[in-house]
Amino acid sequence: MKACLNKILIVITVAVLSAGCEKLLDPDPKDVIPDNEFLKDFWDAEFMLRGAYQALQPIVEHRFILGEMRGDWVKPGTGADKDLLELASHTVTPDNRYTNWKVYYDLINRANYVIENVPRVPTDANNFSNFEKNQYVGEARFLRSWAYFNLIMNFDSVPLVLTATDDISNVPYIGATSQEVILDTIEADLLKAFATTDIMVSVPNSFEVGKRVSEEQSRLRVTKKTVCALQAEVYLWRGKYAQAAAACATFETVNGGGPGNRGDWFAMYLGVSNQNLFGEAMFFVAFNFLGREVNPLMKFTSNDPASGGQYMVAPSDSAIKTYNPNYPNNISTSNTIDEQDRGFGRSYAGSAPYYNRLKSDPVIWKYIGLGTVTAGNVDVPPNVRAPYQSESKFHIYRFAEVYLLWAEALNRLGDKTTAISRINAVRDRARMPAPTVTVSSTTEQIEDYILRERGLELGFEGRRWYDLMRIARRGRPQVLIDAVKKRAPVSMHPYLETTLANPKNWYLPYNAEEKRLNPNL
Amino acid sequence: MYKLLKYCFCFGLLMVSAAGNKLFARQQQALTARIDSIINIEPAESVNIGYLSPKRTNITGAVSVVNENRIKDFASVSIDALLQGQVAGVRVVNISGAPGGGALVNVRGVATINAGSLPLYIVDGIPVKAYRMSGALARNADNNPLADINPDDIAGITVLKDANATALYGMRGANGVVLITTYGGTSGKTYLDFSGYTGVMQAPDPLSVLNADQYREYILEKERARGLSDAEINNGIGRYLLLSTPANQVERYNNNTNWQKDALKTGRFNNYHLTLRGGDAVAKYSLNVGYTSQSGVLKNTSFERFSTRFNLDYKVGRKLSFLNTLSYTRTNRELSEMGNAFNTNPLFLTAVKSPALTAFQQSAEGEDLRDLDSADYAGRNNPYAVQNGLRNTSNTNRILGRITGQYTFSPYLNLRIAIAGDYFRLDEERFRPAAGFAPEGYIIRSSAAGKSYELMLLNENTLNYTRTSASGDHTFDATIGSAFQSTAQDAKVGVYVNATSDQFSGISSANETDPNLDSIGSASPSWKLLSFFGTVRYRFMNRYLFDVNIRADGSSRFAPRSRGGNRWGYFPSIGAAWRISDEAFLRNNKIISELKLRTSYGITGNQEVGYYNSFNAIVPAPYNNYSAVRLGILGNKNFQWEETKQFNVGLDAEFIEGRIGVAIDYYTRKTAHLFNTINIPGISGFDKYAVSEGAIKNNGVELSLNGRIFTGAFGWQTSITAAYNKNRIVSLPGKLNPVVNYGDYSSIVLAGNAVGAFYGYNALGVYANSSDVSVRNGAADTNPFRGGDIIFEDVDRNGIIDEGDRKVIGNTNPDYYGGIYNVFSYRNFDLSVFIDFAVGNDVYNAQRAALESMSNYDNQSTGIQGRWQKEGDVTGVPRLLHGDAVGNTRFSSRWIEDGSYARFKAITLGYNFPLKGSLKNAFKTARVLVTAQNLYTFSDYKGFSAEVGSITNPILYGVDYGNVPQLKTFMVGVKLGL
Repeated sequence: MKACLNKILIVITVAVLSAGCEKLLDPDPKDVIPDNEFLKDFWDAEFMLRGAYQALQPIVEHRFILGEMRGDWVKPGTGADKDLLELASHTVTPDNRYTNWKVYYDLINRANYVIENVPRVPTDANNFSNFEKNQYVGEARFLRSWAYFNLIMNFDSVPLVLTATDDISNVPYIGATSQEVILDTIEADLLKAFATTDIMVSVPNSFEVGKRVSEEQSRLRVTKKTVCALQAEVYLWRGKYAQAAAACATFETVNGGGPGNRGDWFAMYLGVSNQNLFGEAMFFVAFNFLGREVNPLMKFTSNDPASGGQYMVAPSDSAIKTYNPNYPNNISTSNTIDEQDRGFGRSYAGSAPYYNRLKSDPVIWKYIGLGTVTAGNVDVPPNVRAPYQSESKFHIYRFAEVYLLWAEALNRLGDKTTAISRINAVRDRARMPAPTVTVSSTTEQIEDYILRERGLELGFEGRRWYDLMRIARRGRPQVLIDAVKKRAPVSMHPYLETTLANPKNWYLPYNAEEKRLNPNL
Repeated sequence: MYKLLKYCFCFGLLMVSAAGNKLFARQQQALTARIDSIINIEPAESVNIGYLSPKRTNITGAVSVVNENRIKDFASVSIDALLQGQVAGVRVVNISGAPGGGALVNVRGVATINAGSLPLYIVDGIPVKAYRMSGALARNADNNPLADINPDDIAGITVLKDANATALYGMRGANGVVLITTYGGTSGKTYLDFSGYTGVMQAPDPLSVLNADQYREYILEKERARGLSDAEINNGIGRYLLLSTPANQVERYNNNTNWQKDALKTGRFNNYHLTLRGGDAVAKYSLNVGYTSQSGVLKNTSFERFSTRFNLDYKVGRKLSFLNTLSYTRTNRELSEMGNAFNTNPLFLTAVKSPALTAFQQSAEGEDLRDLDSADYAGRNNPYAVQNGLRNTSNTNRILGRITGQYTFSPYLNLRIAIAGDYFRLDEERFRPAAGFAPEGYIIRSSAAGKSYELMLLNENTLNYTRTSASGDHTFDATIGSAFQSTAQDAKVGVYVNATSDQFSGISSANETDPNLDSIGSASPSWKLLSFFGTVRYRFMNRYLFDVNIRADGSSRFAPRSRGGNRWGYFPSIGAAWRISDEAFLRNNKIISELKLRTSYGITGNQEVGYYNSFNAIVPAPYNNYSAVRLGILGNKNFQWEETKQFNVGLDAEFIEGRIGVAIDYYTRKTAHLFNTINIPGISGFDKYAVSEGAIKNNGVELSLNGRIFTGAFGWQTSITAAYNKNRIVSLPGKLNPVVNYGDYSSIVLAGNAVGAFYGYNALGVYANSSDVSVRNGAADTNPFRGGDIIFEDVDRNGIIDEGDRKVIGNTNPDYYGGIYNVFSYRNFDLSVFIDFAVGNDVYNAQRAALESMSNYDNQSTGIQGRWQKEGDVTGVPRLLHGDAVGNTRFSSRWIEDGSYARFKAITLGYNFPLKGSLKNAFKTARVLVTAQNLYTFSDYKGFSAEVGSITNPILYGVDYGNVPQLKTFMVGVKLGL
């Protein structure tokens, strides 16, 4: 009996010891958090969601370069490297760094992680109801859809990963899914996102219970309006004009307001909060130099080496002529000839250091300016961002874009009158006269005008190439070919003509390293 | 270079044969104990092998002993550097000759690609921090934690090399173990020993670069060759070449400065040490106090150390005793930046800086003004500002302590319980002013401060049993034990930029939203190790020896079994030895006095594989300055330590009563479960995760030879260590990107190759004529080769020189390395000559690559004057080519040099005063010595020194951006025993 008891005692002692031992060896990291200790409360959920938005920051470079370099609104600057030149000349090789889609899938994975894990966060009577839980998931669905939409516009068909990679055993090694299937997924996701996101974003109060509506967060986070904008773009891409128009109409209803004030156009590119943001709905990617979050846009667009500018991307001559037909000789004050609010000194400007000289290499001004520039020959200190403080925001969606998408849908639906009034609303806000197209113009003429207007309004914001593709997909490839030819050197024209005649060549090749790592691709 | 090897071995053989001749001719004579102690022949001594101290003859593992006298009298201040050339199979690469500089030590070859490669250092039973804190503020500078251990305190060093010797260190043992014992007390006599040294260190000869006239001529020729017209030159670079320089600027560009000479000076070395030892049968004590100061050959570099150590052993009653050791060390350093800090490494910068400029702004009359000249048109900093304005200081405080309580139950059984601690504190400051420096992005000036510490706490309990049978035939030793070790690190760095003036050099800031507060960072990794171990040693008839060891280590770095992980590792080893000399047929042999055959096999581990690889980790991802997180590290629950299986067979022999001693070892070490990161498809949202896959094999032969050649009034003893090691990667995980790009150079990890292989193009020479070119330069051939360009080997023979033509062009591992030590004595004089050598390792001379690039505005070496200039020129130096669109400067065998060397590491002449009369009353010993170190090096290497180490990439030694070599040092010293 005693021996038996002793044995039991020994077994228990060993068990207790070894259990204690294991606990002794649990890691206690201070720089990172083991994932099984995270997502315990609403703050964790909020941090996790915000971390998903943070993935937009590295995408900005890709969105800007991929959306502009292949189109007609920019040209390679003197500092353009091999990869940029390849994009501009439509000779992209699988080694080109812009074929690396990791930044988009990083966003997708973070969104997937939110979609899968936020629902398990316990609700909290004051701060985290089921509504907010679903809202967070809805926002993540939007982010995922937006990333996939960018991917299919660039690569046609891509691997569709809808579950979070959170273990080495579920690292995906899968082939591509066709564009149409992905677009179906996006449509379905966006319907869910629309249902669960809010009109404005509320944030917890710091010192008291409850929440307050935050205008600032409503621009940094996804609302129903943002979802509508992406829906409109996706439907238009697929030629579903009625649904696109309906999405725009919903946007208008949710927004509850029209265009902002005239004359404040450039303010849209300035601060993030507490400044006049034109009173319009918008969704953008923010950067904050205090946290050393910077985007590469100053490096790409500035030609001031002291600011780190490498002048890799410059406004194209054809774009500038659209803003200011007599550039670089003259810029008038007549809004029937020149763009006042969106032209020289706003969308683009002259060279460093004063940026006001007409006859100098033009630079894109949206990302380096802190105010407008007036053309002149007198040395005035420019209102320009401090060197290396490249913290300009980058727009993803905004009011004018939705209006122009709406015009595009209505035009295709045959409602030319409303279409023109939508264009006019955008133009009027920029103090420009009514469009030169009328109800008697052809659908194509109005479409071309919308494309022109999109350039003027949304130029250099990473949309141009997709706009060209969208219109070209409607049986109008020549629009795309002509646009690129207009910007490219004449020697390139025959190559561009034959290459771009094949819609397959509008897409990028898969990245060589990605193919090596994933043989199923 | 192989001639050198030949030289070394011939020298060795010569001495051996001399010994042989003399041995039979002369009557054996007793040697003085002093000389014995210098040469490591003390067959009966006890050897510290960690948990036990058996007699040397009873060891079955591969263990080398370094005697205290072999590590004294040097100007090196760090124990790792002092091991160089002392132990067969231990490769030591000095990082630099900067003050306080340490070294990188590898035992039996590099057995890892990504994990830590240093051996485990144990000082008086305390495992001490040897790995440097990562991310030194002074770029690439060495804050070697081992410099906190004063070599003058050391009584002996044992290096454990094979698995049998290291298995008791389990998961930390795979890289070998260095056991260090400091002076303990004595019972009876009291000793007070003083030693003092002072000396000078001679600056290395500057590299030969162009003077101002040659420089201007070369730049002008280069600009013309790019097709610039005179007008364009006058509008551009001509302004700096006195062609179109504005009148008020002429003096700025009209100098002839020897920047290298101005940067160097004579260094000084002082070292004082006092040891007090004494005690009685109850208590024994030793007190060591040391002070070292060293100033470097680069201005404003220095090292200062104050160290104190107190060891106290005492008995409480008959059965209980305590063994204590406590030491405190303080070091202060002024550092210069090193390695690829191109604009702040003084040795790199001074060589490439335009000689036409000078340190200070110039008046119209060409006199120095007060203000420093600014950075130049090539973007190069003012070297004077780098040496005098850039301030890098660091200091360390180190406390090591251990208390061991020993209770003796019976003569056969005792229990030891120990607690030990190692506290290492490092404070760093770096201030880079604006004057004389080119801005780095938005940073015009910056101040940084770093505070970091590491605290190790250890509890170790052992129960020891030892018994010899009544007949004396069977001896049985056993130890079982447990240990718990916890190590926590905490490092904090703050950087403040663009303060309003160079007078503000601190990091004080107005508030947390100050945009000039550039960053605040911290890193606080920690790890814990729980261990159980046991060893059994059995000896039969003193002839047949058997050892079995096992250690179980559980580490917090790895996932627990409950998560399917590999937290616990088991490390067994066995060893056996046969003392043939004790067999009847040899027992009375006059020639062979000791002959032992030993062999061992075992498994050891390396846990230096990062801290956070076994679990998914959430990391910060702040957005718009708000807190945010993301899943940042994809953990691998199967992640584990690297595991080395080692087989060793060795022979120890002594002849003629120990006058000749030989030890030969052959080993194979196969290391598996290598720490690698594999790349995964971007569609996962990640780039990579850590795996434990891949294997490396090292095998080699080690030889130690000791001989007392002359033993009379004129004595000569010699000791040779040599090792051959072959290192080969056996396998690697799939999906690994084999080429590792380090910016200006590349290496490759590829099965079948060595670790640390340079990977690049093979340069075969220079095209004498354009018509000789038969290959395209890239598929597009945008910049075709022509006369004067480098002939790159078309490895794949497709007519196109592109990335496919890269191959292994160098190996940083030596084939052979070792040392030769000789002591000659005559009456009261003794002379020792110590040579160390390494043969067969390659070095990437990155500094020469910059000095012969001929593609920018940097100054160049005089070697470019023999460059290709016109069709038909036959030369090894290509044409100048601004911007180098052709790629003549690409990473190729052109920059790889043979790093083999043999060096007179130390020549020391000592005199021992004959102590008579009143001297005898005053002193027990009195000795004076003069020593010359690094007096001459045989090497074909073209840079400062073929011996270069890197603290940032310990695997790939031998990348030379301009490194302070081991300096010629001349010292005088005195040693007094009271």
